[in-house]
Amino acid sequence: MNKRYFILFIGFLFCFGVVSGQKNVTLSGYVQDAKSGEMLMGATVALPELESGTYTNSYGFYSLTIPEADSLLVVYSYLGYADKYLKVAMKNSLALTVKLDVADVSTETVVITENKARQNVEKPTMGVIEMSIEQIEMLPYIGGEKDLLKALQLLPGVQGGSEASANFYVRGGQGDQNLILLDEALVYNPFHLGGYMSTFNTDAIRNVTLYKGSFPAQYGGRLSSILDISMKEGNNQRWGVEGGIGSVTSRVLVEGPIIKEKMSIVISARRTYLDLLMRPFLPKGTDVGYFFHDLNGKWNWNISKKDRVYLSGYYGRDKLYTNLFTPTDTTRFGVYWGNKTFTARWNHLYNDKLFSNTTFVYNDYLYNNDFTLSGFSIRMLSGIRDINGKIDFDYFPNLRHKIKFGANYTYHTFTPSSVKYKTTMIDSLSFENIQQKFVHESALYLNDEYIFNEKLNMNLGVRAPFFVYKDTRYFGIEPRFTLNYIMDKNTSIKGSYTMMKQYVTQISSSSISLPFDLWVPATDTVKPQTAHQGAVGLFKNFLGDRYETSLEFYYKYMSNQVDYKEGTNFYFNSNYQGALVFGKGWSYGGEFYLRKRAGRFTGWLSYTLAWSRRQFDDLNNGKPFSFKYDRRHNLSLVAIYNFNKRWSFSSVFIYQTGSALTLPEGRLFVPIYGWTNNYSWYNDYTTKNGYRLKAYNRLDIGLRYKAGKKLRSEVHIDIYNVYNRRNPFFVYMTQEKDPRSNGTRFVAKQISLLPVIPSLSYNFTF
Amino acid sequence: MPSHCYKSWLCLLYLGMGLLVSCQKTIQIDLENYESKIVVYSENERDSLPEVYLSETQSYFGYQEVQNRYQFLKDASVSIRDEDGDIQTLIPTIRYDSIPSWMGNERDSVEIYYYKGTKPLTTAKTYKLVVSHKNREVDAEMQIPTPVQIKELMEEEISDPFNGESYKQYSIKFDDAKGSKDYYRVGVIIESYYTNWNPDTGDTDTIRYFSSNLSVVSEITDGAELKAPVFSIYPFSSPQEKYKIFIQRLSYGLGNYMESVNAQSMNGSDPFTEPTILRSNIRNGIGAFGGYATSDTIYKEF
Repeated sequence: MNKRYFILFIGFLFCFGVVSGQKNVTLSGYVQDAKSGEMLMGATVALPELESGTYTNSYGFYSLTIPEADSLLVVYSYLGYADKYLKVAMKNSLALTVKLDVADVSTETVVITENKARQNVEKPTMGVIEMSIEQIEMLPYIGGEKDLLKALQLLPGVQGGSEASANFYVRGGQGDQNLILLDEALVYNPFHLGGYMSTFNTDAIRNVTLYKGSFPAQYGGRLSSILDISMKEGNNQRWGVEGGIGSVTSRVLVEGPIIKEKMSIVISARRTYLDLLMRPFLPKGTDVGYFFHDLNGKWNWNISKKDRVYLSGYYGRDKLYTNLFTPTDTTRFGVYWGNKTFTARWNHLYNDKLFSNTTFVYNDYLYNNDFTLSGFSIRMLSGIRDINGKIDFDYFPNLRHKIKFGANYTYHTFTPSSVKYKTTMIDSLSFENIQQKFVHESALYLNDEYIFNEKLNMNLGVRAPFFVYKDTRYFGIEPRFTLNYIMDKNTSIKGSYTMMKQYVTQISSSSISLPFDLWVPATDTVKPQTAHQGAVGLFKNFLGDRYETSLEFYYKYMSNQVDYKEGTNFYFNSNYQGALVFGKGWSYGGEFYLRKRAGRFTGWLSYTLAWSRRQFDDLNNGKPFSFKYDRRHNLSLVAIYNFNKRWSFSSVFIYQTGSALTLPEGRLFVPIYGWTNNYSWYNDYTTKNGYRLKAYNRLDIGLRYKAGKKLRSEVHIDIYNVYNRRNPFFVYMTQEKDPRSNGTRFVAKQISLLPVIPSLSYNFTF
Repeated sequence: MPSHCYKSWLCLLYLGMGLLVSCQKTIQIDLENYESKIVVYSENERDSLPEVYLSETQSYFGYQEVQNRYQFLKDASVSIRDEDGDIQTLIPTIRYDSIPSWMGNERDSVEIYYYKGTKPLTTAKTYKLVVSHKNREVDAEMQIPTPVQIKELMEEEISDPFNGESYKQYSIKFDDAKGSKDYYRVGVIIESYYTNWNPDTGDTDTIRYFSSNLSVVSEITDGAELKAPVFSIYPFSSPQEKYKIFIQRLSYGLGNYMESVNAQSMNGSDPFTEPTILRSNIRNGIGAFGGYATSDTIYKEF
């Protein structure tokens, strides 16, 4: 049945392509940043006279096939850049690369044109948010650090986990249901410092796009979200250096042309110095520390008008170590973990309608620890390594169709856990040999963005994944569509349906993201997770597109969800499969987003009303219960004010319903295990996640001062948690004695993590 | 030293790092008028008279005084009805049990109140328990299972990877009952020839040791031959011992409850473990009403 629909769908797309194909001319090319030469993704190319247009793909390429014309007005626009108006003679096909200049956003004089900011209304996409690095940089820094993943938590439908954590949860999904791509390389552990910072150095990043639903068919493998991060290409006009000194990290970036306008390179590095700051305060004979560092690099070569090559990579490492020295012995303990990614891409333009990108990706996440004491040593390692090849095509047959299709293949190597012991008494001994798991995952996809008429357009896609692990084989058909009805030039109504499958699962029983949380593949027992998501929404822009609003409602059903059997201690349980239980989940809610996009005052209001529930036969006596991060209300208010070119002020206010918690309500005194006369106390927890921690709220503010022309300096003064709110991090029970009755009683104690934290940081560019 | 110790250590290290910058305060947990529940504990051997122990839960945040521990319900009405409609009313009974010192040395023994039936419970019948206490009523249903038999006692030589020494492990083999999800527990009674002088009586006693092991059998292994370890003999242990080994098949509700009790007991104070909710088959209450059937006993002497 599924195959029949698939064939019909392909037929539908190509029929439209053939029927509507005419003898026309094609206007194609790239849109670039004039200053740096970086390609602009998602820039609008509008044809006002034809009431039509398109936008650039991930590599800045566009193509418009139109009837020939003596003279045609083309408007190129991109948010934050000044529009460019061109009159072109379209008698023959024309290749036109356009460079846009950055607009002055510090004054109200910036004109928001009709073309510039209407993609949210006109495009058949939902639940998609693009966040510019400039937006992230304008937010108050947390402890002197800007963080991409924490900025995403301010968006509707996205929420953080525990206090200050960079982990994020989208529309009631698990943290491992987010696909995080850095230049198309999958990042399995995007966190440093136990989840408190993300691995992404924002200096090295150009674009961030988050998909919460309405997933384009080129993406797959996760249920809840796709976070697509592109690194900077490097300035191909002139050499420059930028960097910053913060309270936790310092960073530097160097970029420039190797061959002007042809070849450029960018390299950035970041390192913490917690270990160096701690060292003077440590007792003699003790060396304890933690640090992480990141290295990003990208090289691109514009070989010809038709070919372009990119090489990019990321290397990040965390190290936590303890060395205790005594006159007779040394105890060493070290934990190391990190990601390595390498991406090689080749863009090729077959003709002015067909663009391709061929990608090779290598990514590797490794965790290991070493312990040495009195001749005894232990080494443990676990990780996952992928080798991925893919090819993507963008085909622009005419103004109505924008077709994307391709294939990809990934060879996963999972190393769930390997332990080696060595003592002076016996030879090196491996308790568990490295039992690697080799998995093949591939997919074909086809996606068409089709314009029926000026009122109605749609995005129709299908993805067919295929998964093989030993004798286990899974094949799926994942249909997706988004329908967009444009009511007027500022308003549209959209509806979407998406099906997603996930073949890898992260095994974690902790609320914080820990580096040794294992990724494991689907097996006969651990079935692939599946999600069906439907959404409807109203999208409207106001006041000349200065204000953007959206109201979306969604419902998501997830099957084959994985959790731990109650009472399982993951850290004392190497047989993870025996400890897993399987069930279903569903989440639903509404998201409201209001954003002011230009002028002295910018910012946004994001509000989410959401429910997220789970039901497992083996948990909570089979009854439904709330997901740990089921938060009914989630409000973020971001306000940024540019006083002038030098001074700006920003503030962020967050309010969230407290996260769910399992607490005992009663106690009972019953025989132990039923065998003996011994009795013991047990807890009556009543309902899993039945109690709520207190609501979370916080206000952060930041003041930014810019100075200089050649050496541009930026000073940030930020205050995190201005009114010193003691937000709950977790709650534990402890017994207190009553001196009068000699009885004891349990009381709940709340741990709060971060009080008010002022910080000062300095950034420079030259 | 196993790897998970280091994982736990690492967790604690993380926690410690967090606590360095954190603060704590006592908070009030708003439990809306906690209403206590009737707690039923009734595990009944095949062809034996039923016994039901009743108590009630207390608020978790109330004062836990020593005298509050043994809150047996003494004035309840307890009846068991079988599927033929025969009803037996259970009679309140008192037993005195000794209390281990770790439970509080305030007294040597405690009165255990329970309700005892007059007719034995047999297999293949469904029994319904009804308990009324004041204006509360709870009920539960169960069937006493048929026993499974031990097929074989196996001896295996195991090498200890830490010290290189070997020991003998004994396991039993038995066939899982088909068509149901079953819980089993293995009982081992050790009769040693060593005697211990009792200063109170001046006599010597035979030392007896009783151990148990509860295992769960999932549907995946339905009807399969299963192996369960029962005891081990180390080179330094005495061979002059007699082991009595048997296996009990538990009704699902009882096994399910015991498994959760055991998990809570083992991991209740572990901060890295999700709390275990007791899995009860008592409607409107908590606890278990179940039964078990014991296999023939086999003996192993050294």
